[in-house]
Amino acid sequence: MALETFEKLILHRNFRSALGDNLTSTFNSDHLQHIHQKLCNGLDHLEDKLKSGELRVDMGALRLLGAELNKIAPNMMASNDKQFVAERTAYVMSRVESIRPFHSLNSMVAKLFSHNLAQTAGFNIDWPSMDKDGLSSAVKSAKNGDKQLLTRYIEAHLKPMIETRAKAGVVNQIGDDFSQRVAEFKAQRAPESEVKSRGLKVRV
Amino acid sequence: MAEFSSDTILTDICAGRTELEQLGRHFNKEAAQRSDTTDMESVAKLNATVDAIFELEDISLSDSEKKLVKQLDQLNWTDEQVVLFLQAMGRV
Repeated sequence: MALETFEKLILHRNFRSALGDNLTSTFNSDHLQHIHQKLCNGLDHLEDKLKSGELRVDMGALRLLGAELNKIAPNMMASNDKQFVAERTAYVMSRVESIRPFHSLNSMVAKLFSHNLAQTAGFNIDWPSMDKDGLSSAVKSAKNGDKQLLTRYIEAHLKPMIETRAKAGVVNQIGDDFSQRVAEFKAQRAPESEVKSRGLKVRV
Repeated sequence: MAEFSSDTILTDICAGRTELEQLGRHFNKEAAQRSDTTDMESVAKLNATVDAIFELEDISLSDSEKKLVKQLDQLNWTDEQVVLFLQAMGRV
């Protein structure tokens, strides 16, 4: 996709704005669609190419993904196990990349969604430390069914947000914070889901 | 780094495009009336993340584009204003 400077900068601003939405996310099909709409905001050239909303989004694929992701999110929120978070993040990223529910920007939606999801479990994905070839080959293998490489790649680039908070002297609040977020999420978004506690121990 | 006024930054961005500059001055006035200010440190971190993802997506920003992002950040406009301004910039 070749973009003019002003289009790249609009996308840049939209992406940055969407990054700031992180912890209020709902992790379902609406969330995916919201991310896509936010990224497309003001990019008239993308809108002009599309004849209707139906062409823009594969609603069936979106609902399928949304249902899957909505089950994954509560368990992610109850975990601070890096490998578990990496596995789930890799799964989500590869599913969005494989199913490609949108006309455009699927890869960016996958990254943003994964980023939001990892943050909810208390981790940042350290994108600046990734290299294009490494990530691209890991995503390719995952799309072909082998998610181990992508899991390991993501795990190597997950940075706990807790470390930063611990340095600020608020470590004792972390466990409560996770539990509370899980409870709020279940109450508001996924009352039927099962949340598996994987421990909320914090090492300082 | 030297601090420049919003109007000076705008003049540099617009490079003589009068209508674009008018729009920008209007946004500058609105920004001056708002009490909130941009936390430049947080913005710089977010920019670094977005820049990295753009590189992974093979749509890296050039140095001049990164400079423009920084200039727009200094103007303290809302996201909506920035998008409207960039759209106007794209109209020849």
